Amino acid sequence: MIRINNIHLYYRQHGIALHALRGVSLDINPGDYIALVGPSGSGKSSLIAAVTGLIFPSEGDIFIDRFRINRISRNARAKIRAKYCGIIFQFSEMPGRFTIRENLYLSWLSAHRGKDLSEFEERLELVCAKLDIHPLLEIRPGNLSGGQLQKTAIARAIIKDAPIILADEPSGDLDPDNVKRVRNVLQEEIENGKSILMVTHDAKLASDAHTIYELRDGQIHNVLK
Amino acid sequence: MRDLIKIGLSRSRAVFILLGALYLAVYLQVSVLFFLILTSKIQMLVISGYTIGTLGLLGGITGAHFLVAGKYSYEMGNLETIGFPRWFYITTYLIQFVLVQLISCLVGLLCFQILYIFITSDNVSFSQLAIVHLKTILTVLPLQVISCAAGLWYQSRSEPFLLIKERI
Ligand SMILES: Nc1ncnc2c1ncn2[C@@H]1O[C@H](COP(=O)(O)OP(=O)(O)OP(=O)(O)O)[C@@H](O)[C@H]1O
Ligand SMILES: [Mg+2]
Repeated sequence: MIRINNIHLYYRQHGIALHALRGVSLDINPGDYIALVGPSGSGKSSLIAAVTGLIFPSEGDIFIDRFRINRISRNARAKIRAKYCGIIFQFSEMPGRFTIRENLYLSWLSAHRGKDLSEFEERLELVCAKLDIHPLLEIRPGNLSGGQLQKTAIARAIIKDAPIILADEPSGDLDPDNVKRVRNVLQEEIENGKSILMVTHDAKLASDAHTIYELRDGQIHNVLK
Repeated sequence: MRDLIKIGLSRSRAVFILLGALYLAVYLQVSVLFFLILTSKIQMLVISGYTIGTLGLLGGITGAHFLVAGKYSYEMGNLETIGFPRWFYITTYLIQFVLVQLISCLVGLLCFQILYIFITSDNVSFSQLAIVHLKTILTVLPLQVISCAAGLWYQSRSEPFLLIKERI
């Protein structure tokens, strides 16, 4: 499903280049549940951004399905993301002008253009029940607590029913009950044949994964499981 | 696209009211000056006043567009991360801006009619006035669309991940 082949990524700021990823290779097949761990600044978020085509690696290749996303246009990358990727960011991000329902709708719409609204309502019902976010739907993201926002961000990623889920610290701001919910949700996604690439510092969450990679200084340092 | 426009229009009233007011100011200014041209004896003076005033207001509106574009860059990056290409976002917002401008323009035209009818008893016909307004719109509208599109495009140069991170 995803093939990452020896990628290098640089951040350039004021003429100084920071070598954030130094030759990472990784394969993710359908049904794979992969966790990435590693110290702060080791390049985990950068890897997720590169895989989804949100940022451009200067060397190496990334394939999603049969598309080499570092060779296609920016618009085409957006389309691939719409179709294949549900992304949970480390810092939950949502346009504040739209309510949570609208935000979820936009995410769903990106993958299901032209489909009936009732299909969205159905899916929304399901996702809300799983994550217990029903009361938040008419609220704007700016008025949510960190944990509530995190949960809606997870909902936004899974509502589109995409084959790949990329999660950057999905349990970041959550209490133990909600962490359990999130673990169940991710487990269910795996059972439905999705693949997950997850960054986490939570040992329990990481232990759910089939494989754990440790990233250090932009390189895969170790395979822990 | 229809959905984005619908959601966008319903959620950004403040911005649209501001832009609408600006456009209205332009059309009123243009109307009043044009009225003076129609009635004045020193036409050269009025025409140069008309030109300068209109250019100034256009600059103001262009600036406002860039501000609006700046406000939207984060949103654009965010929607791009979930799979809406940039052109999609930019097109929907251009359509919204054009709608707002057309509404303001119609209000401006109406105001001018009222002004004109109350102040003079001249025999300038409605269609004559409408043509002048139409000319103004046809000059201003493409300029606005271009400036707005350029502003949005300029704001979205970075990769979407960086656009979003900027905000943190
Ligand atoms: N926008 C940016 N501009 C410049 N450098 C950046 C940018 N984003 C990240 N970096 C640098 O890239 C390196 C990797 O950052 P990244 O965010 O991928 O780390 P991380 O593994 O996700 O860390 P954490 O566990 O704290 O989230 C860091 O040294 C960071 O300083
Ligand atoms: Mg990170």
